[in-house]
Amino acid sequence: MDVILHSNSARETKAWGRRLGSLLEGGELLALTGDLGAGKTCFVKGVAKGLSLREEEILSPTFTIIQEHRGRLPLYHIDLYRLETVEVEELGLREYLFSAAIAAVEWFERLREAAELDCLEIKIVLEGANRRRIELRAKGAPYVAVLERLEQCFVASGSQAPYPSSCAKIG
Amino acid sequence: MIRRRRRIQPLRRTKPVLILGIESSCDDAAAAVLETHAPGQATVRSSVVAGQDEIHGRFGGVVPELASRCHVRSIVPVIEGALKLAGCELAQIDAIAATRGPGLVGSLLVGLMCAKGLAQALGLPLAGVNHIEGHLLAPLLEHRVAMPFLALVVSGGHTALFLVEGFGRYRRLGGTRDDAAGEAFDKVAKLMGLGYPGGRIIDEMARQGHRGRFKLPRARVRGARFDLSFSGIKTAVALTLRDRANGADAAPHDLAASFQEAVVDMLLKPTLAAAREHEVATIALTGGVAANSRLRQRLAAEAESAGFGVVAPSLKYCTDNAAMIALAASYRLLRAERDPLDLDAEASLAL
Repeated sequence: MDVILHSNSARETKAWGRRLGSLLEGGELLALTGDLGAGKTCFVKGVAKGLSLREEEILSPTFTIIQEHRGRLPLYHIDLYRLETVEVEELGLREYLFSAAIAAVEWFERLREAAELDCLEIKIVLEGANRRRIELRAKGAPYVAVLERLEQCFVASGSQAPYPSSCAKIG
Repeated sequence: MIRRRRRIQPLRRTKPVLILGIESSCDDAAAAVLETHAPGQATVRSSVVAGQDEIHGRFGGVVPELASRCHVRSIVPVIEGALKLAGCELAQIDAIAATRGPGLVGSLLVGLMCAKGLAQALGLPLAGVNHIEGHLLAPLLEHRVAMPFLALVVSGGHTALFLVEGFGRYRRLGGTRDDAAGEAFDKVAKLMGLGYPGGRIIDEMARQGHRGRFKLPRARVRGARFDLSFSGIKTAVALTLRDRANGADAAPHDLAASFQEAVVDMLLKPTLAAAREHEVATIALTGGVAANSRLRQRLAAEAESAGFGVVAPSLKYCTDNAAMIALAASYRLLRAERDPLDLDAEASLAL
């Protein structure tokens, strides 16, 4: 199952992330891919907000590789940028990827087992100065359910805008 | 239950104290011997750093598992090298200091466990040090700086402004909300296909470039005057490159110069504002990005014309080293404070 979202600003990208974050129940693996500057960390800031964390707490984890945050659910923010390739069994990654917490992994494609794992793929494509296409793909039944819940939000709000209808802001 | 407090003799005595510092928070294993008799007054007897560039170069970045395995092999030779260079024996050392965070846990553990083992075996006091505190105090290795002073710490992993009010008294005034400044240099170099380490390459290319050629955004964080954001400029460079990819002249020197100028602008503005607001006499520039020639040049010029002194440690003390770790432990050790031997490493230790 696929869902495609459009964002016209960093603020909207964050708002999409926040929406997704608020729908998570724990144990989900978010697999983020996209070029440098696409907005992966920005999206994770939004997810963190959806988990009742302050977005200021989310810094780029490039240097530290793994950052742990305590929100409504624990969030493990992982960045594989500095690694050319890595296996699940290295760095104790297994404990982070398969837990009751949320694991948000930037540069997920650098994980050798990337193709085999159940996860929610989040691919962010740079379309213009501020424009981004966010492609969500569910790999595994629990993730299909997450995307269904996300789509129900559009039905409820009557539009595919990242903000709830009460504070709808377009463009 | 009444616990009897054991009296610990303060280290302060007529004879200077020798501290062995150990640092292994990221890629470099380092050891140093520092001679001190009062807080902030120290002589570096030796400072040895073993980098791992050739190991990680093959992988295009730091591989944590490799880094810690490599530290295991290099930490003892590095300590032996530091002792030899200082012309002293392990038996002459009075105290041990080691970085306990922040950093990569596997790497931190190697240095810290080694320090704990030495402290236990030799019966010496141990002090665990916050890596950032080391950077904040590094200017004192070579300069006398009156406190309070303002410290701009800029490296691959950190970008923050601190008010150093005294030993152990640090106030974080602001810092990056996303990428560290050094990370921005590395990632932009990668985008431009320039290789690693990005900071040095961009610095060199920028010398031959036109700084005003590309208009790049200077991000500011609303409602937080001393905070910074570098993710937007990285994106702006990516877009500039994409626009120019279709046959247009890519002008890499001009882009490097324009990017560097934007980063320097973004760093200087909150730094000077903070210095004014907190009425410090001196601004200290520290961390690996302090090596950037344009940042040094402009900070010196603009701070001095605004009436502030500027100090920056020489390059070997700007980047990760163990002398700054020993220095950051010295004021506590001189007060006879010590950490327990069950001290743990913490990947995201706060200051």
